[in-house]
Amino acid sequence: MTAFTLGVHNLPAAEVVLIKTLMRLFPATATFKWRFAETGPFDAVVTDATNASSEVPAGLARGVLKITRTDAATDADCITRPIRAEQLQEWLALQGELLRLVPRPSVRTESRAVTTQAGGTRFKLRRWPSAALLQNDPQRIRLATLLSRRALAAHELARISRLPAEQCQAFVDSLQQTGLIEVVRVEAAAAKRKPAPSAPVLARPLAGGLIDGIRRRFGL
Amino acid sequence: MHEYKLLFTGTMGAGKTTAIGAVSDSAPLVTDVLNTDASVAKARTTVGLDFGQFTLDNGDRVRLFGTPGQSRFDFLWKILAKNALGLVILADNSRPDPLADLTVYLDGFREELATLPCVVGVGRLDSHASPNLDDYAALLAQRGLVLPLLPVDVRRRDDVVLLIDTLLAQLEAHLYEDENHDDAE
Repeated sequence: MTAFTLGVHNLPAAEVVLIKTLMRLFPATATFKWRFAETGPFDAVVTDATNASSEVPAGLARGVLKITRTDAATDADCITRPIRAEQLQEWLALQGELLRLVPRPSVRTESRAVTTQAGGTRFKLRRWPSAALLQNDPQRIRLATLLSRRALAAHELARISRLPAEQCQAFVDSLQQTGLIEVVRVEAAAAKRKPAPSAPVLARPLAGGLIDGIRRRFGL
Repeated sequence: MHEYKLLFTGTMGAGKTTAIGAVSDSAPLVTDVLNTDASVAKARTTVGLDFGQFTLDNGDRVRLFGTPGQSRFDFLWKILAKNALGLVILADNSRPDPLADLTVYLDGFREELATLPCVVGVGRLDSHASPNLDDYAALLAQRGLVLPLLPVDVRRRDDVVLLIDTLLAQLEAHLYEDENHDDAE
């Protein structure tokens, strides 16, 4: 049996460390096989129910465990702080049983769904991605940087970065699955469009040549 | 010939002088003096500014300025930031509270950050793992900022070049949006 994956979404760093540690300590058995994963989609995700921005994006995970304040747990998918090992383990065991009853959708299907949704939209970063997602890869860092500054569609990202469209789309998909990007409808973006706050000292013809010139200077 | 400016800022010992030296055509000019701040284990520190530059193949020059690290010189930061192409903030993860340090620079350049391309380079992560980059990202998110955040060893030229490339990508994003705006009209 393949291990199920557990991820986290917008949890405080200390709780992420705690969950990672617990996941290493839980013994794997024939009926309990879970591992921690840095990037989604996950089989289940733990999120902070007290944070309004922690709504788990559609498609990120099939099961969601919410962490709440003390005595605020309201349902079976909710546990209270502090996170207790036995509660997490119990929830994962139950979740594992439920997941085994419902086949995992293929990655291909999920990917296509995201791509279709992306057709008429632009994306903008809500928050700088984790080091695990970027892997200190200069191309990923450049793509994330572009999205940190402007809402862009995947094809626009490819045009600016001069990277393959498929690579840009895959990167956008991975960001979307981890809830790190805001989806901006093109119509809304056009209605709101106003002159961009350009870097103050640059006239456009100068800027293009300057950027290329600096990149040549450093062999980029 | 045109001249442009990149700015490096950060705490004492974060590596501004070293970063400039990593990409400058010549050894940076420094205005170091003996450090009299006993809380910082460093013999010399910059009280004015560091200066380096590199020349492009068309003769244009990019000047590299390092600000004095101490916040009491923050009046100089705004002067130096004027007409800069971008800002590199260097954080030193070995200091007692590097997130608080970063806050000082985010506050000091608050107005400029609305338009000025900026990247945060975090040094000494190998020896001091906490706070990690995600903690820095959380701090920026709390302030409504999404800035590129990279681990950096300023002694390595490639790391400094990547910081600069990240500033260039931000400029490209601006320029692309300008083109779209004109097309729409």
